[in-house]
Amino acid sequence: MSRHVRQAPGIRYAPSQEVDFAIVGSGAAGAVMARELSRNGFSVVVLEQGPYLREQDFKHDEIAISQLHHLTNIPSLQPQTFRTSETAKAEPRDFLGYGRVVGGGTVHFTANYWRFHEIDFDERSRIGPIAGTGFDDWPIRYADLEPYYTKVDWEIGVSGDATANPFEPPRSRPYPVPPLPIKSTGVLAEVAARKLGWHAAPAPMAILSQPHRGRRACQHCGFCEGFGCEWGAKSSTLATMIPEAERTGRCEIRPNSFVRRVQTDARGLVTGVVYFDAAKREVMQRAKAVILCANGAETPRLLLMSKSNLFPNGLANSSGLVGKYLTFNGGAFAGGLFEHEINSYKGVQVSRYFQDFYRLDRKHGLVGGGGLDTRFDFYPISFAMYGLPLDGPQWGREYKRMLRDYFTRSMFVLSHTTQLPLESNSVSLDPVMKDAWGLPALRTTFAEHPNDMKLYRFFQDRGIELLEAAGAKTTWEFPLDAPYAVHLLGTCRMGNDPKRSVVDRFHRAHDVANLFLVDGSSFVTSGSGQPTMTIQALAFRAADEITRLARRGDIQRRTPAG
Amino acid sequence: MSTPQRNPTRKGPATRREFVALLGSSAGAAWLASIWPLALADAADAEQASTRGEAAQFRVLSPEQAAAFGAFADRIIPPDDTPGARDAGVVHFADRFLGGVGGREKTEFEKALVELERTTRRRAPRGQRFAALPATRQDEIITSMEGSSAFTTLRDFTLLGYFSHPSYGGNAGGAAWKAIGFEEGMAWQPPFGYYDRPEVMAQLLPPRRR
Repeated sequence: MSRHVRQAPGIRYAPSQEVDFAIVGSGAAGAVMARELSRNGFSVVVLEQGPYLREQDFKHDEIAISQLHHLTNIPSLQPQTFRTSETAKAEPRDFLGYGRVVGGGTVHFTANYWRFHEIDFDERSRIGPIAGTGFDDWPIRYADLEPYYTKVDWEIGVSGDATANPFEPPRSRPYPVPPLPIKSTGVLAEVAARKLGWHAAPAPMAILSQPHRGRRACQHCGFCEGFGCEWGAKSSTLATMIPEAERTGRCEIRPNSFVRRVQTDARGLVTGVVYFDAAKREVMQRAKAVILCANGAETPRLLLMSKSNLFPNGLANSSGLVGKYLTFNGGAFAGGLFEHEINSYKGVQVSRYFQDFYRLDRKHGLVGGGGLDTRFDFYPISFAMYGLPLDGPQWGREYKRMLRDYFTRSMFVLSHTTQLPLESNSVSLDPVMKDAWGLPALRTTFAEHPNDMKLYRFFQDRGIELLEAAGAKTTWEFPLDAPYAVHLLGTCRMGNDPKRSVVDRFHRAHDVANLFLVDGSSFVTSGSGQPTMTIQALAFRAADEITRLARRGDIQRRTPAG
Repeated sequence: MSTPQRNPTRKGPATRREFVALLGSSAGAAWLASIWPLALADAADAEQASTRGEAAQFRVLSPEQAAAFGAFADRIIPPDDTPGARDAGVVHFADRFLGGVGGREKTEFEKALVELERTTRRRAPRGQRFAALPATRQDEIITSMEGSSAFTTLRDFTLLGYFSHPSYGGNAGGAAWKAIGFEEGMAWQPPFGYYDRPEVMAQLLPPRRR
């Protein structure tokens, strides 16, 4: 149970040495940036606030995951506050969750890898503005990102069947490896699909069904969601991009390094980052350019904590939009009990998914849409705490009997939906609460647009419909308000207009030539499902552009071409 | 995270012998005597643990706390044809967890037990402790606490201890996992369940006619 503090292999840079790039965060985006830039010949230091764990550190241990937070942000060190509006009082609440190890959230994620669809990028042009929201087009289109989605498929490693989902956007290449074997939840999904006329497709998963790029295939232990993969079959950046970056000999992964400030000079350029090392000593790493990949909560927080005379509202915040337009992916969750054993705790979490409602028919009067998948979503402790019907017994003899009957025979439908971007939904610095480093705590302000809640309801109804069509003996619903949020999106949105966005279409801060923000914070809208694949496609694309800028000497100056 | 450590301020008896001595000397022995077989079982469990190379005593729980939590937990997960929470070692779990990696939650756990006894006093005016009551009375008290933070805390600890990896001191021999049909393993092969058996799939999803 002890946490290992290991040194990464490979090169070490002195903090006083000016490296080409300091990257903050080693997760979905940061590790891609590190691998691409170090392979392109640049010196790179990656500052990661969490520890450097290895496959041998990953156990089937729910306590370590849910109680001790071995892989995620730690509430006792990183308290948060939450409020539903800018006029409400923020109360202590651990609302936002994210990965806090080398590899970031990709170490513990479930590994659903959905591409965005074409409409996710230009929906406003198609249907017009929505009053009172920041609903907008992206400054790029699906075609701009398609080559990079394909790069994610092949270089990160995604299992899937390119012919199976009729709603999937066009792709230039099939998946590198076939889908994982169908599970009982997948068979039941297909049974329902035939009855309802929907389309169940093998879920694209960043978990290898066959060996790929020197990595092993999944052995179906089932401990994916929330857990690290001890087998290296989950295509986390810890298993993929990080070792490739280190092998260049130009990239140092520096764990246990909590960045507190991006340093700027009198010219308004970035000169490096100041971080707390494992002993809480302040260290400055000098760099020619800084790339923040710290996630949709910590990237804006870091900018807001990097105020200076030149940047009195926080770094890169002349628009005032740093931290604003926070979205997640909304959703709904329902369960069903079946006659026979499903045992969905074995094998990867998701076997089949549906995108029939990726955009709802306009007759529903709702914007956006989403997808559904069939899964279990629990392990023994979490199932006992939260899995049974809420109107049934939660303790005692009958409760124990239900645990026995339901654990192996339950299937759940999880929906993933659009949320509309509202300027009033934000992450900001709490004026009172501090974290263990003495820094202002994350404060979340969030309340859904009425459209979002109606979407959740629509998808909950489809989930019940699916379970019944699959033959569930009984079904039950869970509340539609989420107790916590992951998929942290939209807080430094990209755009062409510096007044209405924080970064340009290549993730360069409008206000600071040598500062780049590459993670979920760049999203303009939430999409309608799983964001990680898009985060990584954006990162591969940004790395190409940043390489071009650096090679022609334009990393610290904005030229007409840049 | 620190690894589990002995807490120098522990209040519990160090060994079974010490526990028996406490029973004889304590002015409050009346209630202890009424529940001593159960509490003794917890101490014995801890002592047995020592033969497996684990700590030989309660680290942080007092005998009163151990008895109350054990009794509560056994109403959350009662014994039937599979072990109840107490038999699976949840008291041992709570003691080790609160004396080690979960030390931060000790205050909350203790407050919940205080609330359990406070509720008991209100509903059992003869001054009995929760652990000394018959099961039906215990169930009434727990029912009256449902939805409270004390109930949630104690239920959560019960379920954590019952279903956690046995290395934490509960779920002895994986008994809780067996009770719900969960198999722990590093590798499985399909079919994982009934519906993905080839013959069942063929029946449920016949080839579509064109």
